[in-house]
Amino acid sequence: MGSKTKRTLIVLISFIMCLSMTGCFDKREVDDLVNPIAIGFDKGQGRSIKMTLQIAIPTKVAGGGEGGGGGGGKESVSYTTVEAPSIYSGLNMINSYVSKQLNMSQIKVLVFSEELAREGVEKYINALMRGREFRPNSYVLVARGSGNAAERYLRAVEPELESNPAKYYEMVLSAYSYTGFSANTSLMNFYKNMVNEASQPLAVLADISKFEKSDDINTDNSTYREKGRDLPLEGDFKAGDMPKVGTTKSEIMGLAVFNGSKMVGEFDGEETQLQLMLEGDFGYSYVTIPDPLVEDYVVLLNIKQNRNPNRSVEIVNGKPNIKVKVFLEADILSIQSGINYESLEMVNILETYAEDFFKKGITRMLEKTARELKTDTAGFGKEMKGKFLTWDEWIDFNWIEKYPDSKFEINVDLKIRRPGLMLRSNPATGIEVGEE
Amino acid sequence: MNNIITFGSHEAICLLITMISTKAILNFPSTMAQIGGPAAWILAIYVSILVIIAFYFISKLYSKFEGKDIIDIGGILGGKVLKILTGVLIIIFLIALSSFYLRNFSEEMKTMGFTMSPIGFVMLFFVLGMIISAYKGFEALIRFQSILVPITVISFSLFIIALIPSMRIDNIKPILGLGPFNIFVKGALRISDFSELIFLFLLPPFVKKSSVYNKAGFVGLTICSVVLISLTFSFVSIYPYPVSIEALLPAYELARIIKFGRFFERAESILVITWATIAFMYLSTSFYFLLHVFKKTFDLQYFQPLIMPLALVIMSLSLIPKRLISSISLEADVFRSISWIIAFVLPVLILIIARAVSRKKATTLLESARSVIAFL
Repeated sequence: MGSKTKRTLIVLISFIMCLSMTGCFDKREVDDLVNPIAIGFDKGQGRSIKMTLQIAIPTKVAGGGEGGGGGGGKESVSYTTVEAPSIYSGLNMINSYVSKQLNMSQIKVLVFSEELAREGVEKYINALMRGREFRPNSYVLVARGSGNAAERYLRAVEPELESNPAKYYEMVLSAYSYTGFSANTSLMNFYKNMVNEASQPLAVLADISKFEKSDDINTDNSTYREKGRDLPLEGDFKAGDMPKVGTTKSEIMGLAVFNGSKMVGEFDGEETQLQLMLEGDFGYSYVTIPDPLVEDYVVLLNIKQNRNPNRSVEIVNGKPNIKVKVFLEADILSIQSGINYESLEMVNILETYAEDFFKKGITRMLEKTARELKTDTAGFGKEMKGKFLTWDEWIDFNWIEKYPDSKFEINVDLKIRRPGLMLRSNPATGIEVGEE
Repeated sequence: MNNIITFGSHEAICLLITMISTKAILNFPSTMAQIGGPAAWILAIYVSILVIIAFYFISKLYSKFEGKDIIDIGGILGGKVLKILTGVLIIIFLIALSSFYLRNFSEEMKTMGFTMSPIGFVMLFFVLGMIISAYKGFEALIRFQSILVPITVISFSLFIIALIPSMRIDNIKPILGLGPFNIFVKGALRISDFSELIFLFLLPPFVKKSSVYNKAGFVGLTICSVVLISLTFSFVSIYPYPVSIEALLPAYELARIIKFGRFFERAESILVITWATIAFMYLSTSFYFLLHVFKKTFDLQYFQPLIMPLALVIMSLSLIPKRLISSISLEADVFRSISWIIAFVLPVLILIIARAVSRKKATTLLESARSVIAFL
C-alpha cells in the first residue's frame, strides 16, 4: 500500500469515526435528563408502595431564567408521587409523564415512612443496592408519624439558604459532625449493618415541625421526664418535637433504630450523641449539663472526641459483660452560676460531674438498646466477633440473641482543656430589686 | 514484524503485572472472600507465597535452557510431536483465557457504563484493539505497556490510599474466616489465579538472559502479589462478610464509596477509563501470544493471516455462555480449577524430564568419550 493511499485511508477512517463515534446506544444528553434529589417511600394500598420524588429544576438551581441567582426553597424543586408495585416500576411510570428521563445518580436522601420502616425495608434496600444509579453514599432517613410521612416530609423541605436543594441535603445531613444529633446513615452503612450479625442499622429521624407560632411552642413531647430531669436539655427531643418555629419546617434529629430490617425504636438527640461517642464518630458539639453546685443553673461545654473509645466484651456466666471507656475533651463556653470552675481547685468538680453525667447517659442508652430494643446499635458484636477463630464458631454463638442480657460497665474520661476567652468568672455586682 | 524482538526486565515485569494483576479489578477479591470469608486476605497471601515458591523451583529448572521457551524445550525433549502437543495445549489455554476475559471485561464494562449497548457492540471495541495491536506487532504493545503499567500502578496505590479511611479491622474478624481447611487446602487450588504465569514460560526468547528472566519473574510476581493482596484486604475490610461475596465488581464498588468532602466523589468514572485500558492491554497481549504460539507450534512463516480468523473464533466463543453469571462461573470454577495443570504442571513436567534427559545424554556422551579414550 502506497503512502498516499495509506494517508487517504487514515483521513477517511478518522472522518468516519468522527461521525459514527459521537454517541452510542447509551448516549444521553444532559438536557434530556432530570435529576431527582430525594425519594420518599410510603406504604401504598395492598403490597404496593407510594413513591415521592423531589426533582431539582436545573434552570432554577443554576440561576437561569429571568431573575437569575437561582431560586430558593420550593421554587427550585418539583414533586411527584406515584403508587407502584416496586421502586423501578414506579420510576417507569414517572418516566411516562415527565418530559425528561429520570437519572437517579444525584439522589441524596432516601426517606422511608415510619409505617413502612416498622414493617421492614429489606426488599427496598436490596433493590436500591442492586441499582447502578443509586449512590451508596445517599443517606437513609425515616420520616416519623403515621400515613404518608415520607411524602409529607419531602414536600415540607424548603431550603431557605441554599438555591441548590442537593447541597441543602448534603449540608444538613453532614451537620452531625458539629451537632451530634444525627449520624452517617448512608445506604451502604445501612445495608452492611442490616445483613451483619455484629451490629444493627440506624437511620436519621426526620419530621415536620408541629408548631406554627412561637406561642404554640411547648416541650410536652420532650424526653426529659423519662430521663428524670426537671427541665429539657437541647438533646431531649426527636425530629418534629423541637421547640422551634420558622420558615424551615423540616427537622432532622435523632435516629431510627432497626433490628435487622425492621424499625423497633427511636433515639433522641442526646442518645444519638452518645451513640456517636460509643462508635468514635462524635466530632464536637455544644452540650449543656446541670451546674454541679447550684440548682437550676447550667454549664455549657464544647465537647470533642479526639480518641476512639476503648471497648471490650467478655462472657461472664454466659452473659456478655461490656466495658467501654469513652475519652472526651471539653472547652468551657458558659457558666451561668458564675462559679469559678476554671480554677485548678474547682475544675475537678466540673470534670467529675460531667463524667458522671455522660456515664449515666451512656448506661441509660445502652440499657435501652439491650432491654427494650434488643438491638446492638453500637456494634459490640464486632468486639465479640474478634474472639472467635472461625466464622462458623461466631455464627453458632448467636450474638444477636445474647446481646439483650448484656451488662454494661461504662467509664468516661473527660478533661476540660480550655476556658474559652475568660480565665475566671466573676459574679455580677449590684443590688437585686426589692433588696435593701 | 516476524523478527523476534528482545526487551529488558522492565518490559517483562510490566507484561507480567498486566497479565496477573488484572484480575484484581475483576472478581479476584470476591472469589477469595467466597473461599476464605473474612480471611480472604490471608488466602491471597498464601496463594501468592505458593506461586513465588513454585516460580523459584521453575526458575531453577529453567536455568539450563537459557533463551528457550516451553515449546522449544518440548521440541528438544520429544521432537515435533511433543512440541505440537505442548503448543496445542497452550493454544487451547490462551483461546479459553481470551474468550472468558473478553466476555467478562465487556459485560462488566456494560454493567458499569454501557447498559443499553448490545454486548457484541462493546466487545467489538476490544476485539478491534486486539486486531490492531496484533497487526502493529509485539514491540508496539510492549512499549505501550511499559509506559502505562507504571502509571496504572501509581493510580492503583492512590486508589488504595483513598480507601484507607473506610477500612475497618473488625471486618476481617474472625481471623481464620471460613476455617483453615478452606484457606490452606481448598485455597491452594486458587494458585490457578496465577495461571497467567504461563506467559513467563513463553518469554525467554524475548528476554534471552536467564538473569533478566529470573528478575522479571520474582519482581513481577511480588508486585502482582502486593496488588492482589492489598485490594483483597481493602475489599474485605470495607465490605464485611457476607456482603463481600455479593459484589459483582469489587473494585467498582470500592471506587463508588470514595468521597472527599462534597466535591470529590464518583471516582468510578476514572476507573472505567483505567479499566478499558487494562482490558485492552490484557486482551491484546494474550491474543498476540496466541498468534505467536500458533505460528511457532506449526512452524508458520507469518501469523498475520491468522489474526482475523482467530479474533472471530475468540469473539464467537466468548458469546457462547448465555448469561454473565455462566461466564463468570465457567471461568472461576471450571477453567481456573484446571488451568493450573497447564500453567504449572505441564511446564514443570517438561522441564524435569528435559533436565533428566539432557543429564543422561551428557553422561552417555561422557561415557562414550571415556570409552573412546580408553580404546585409543
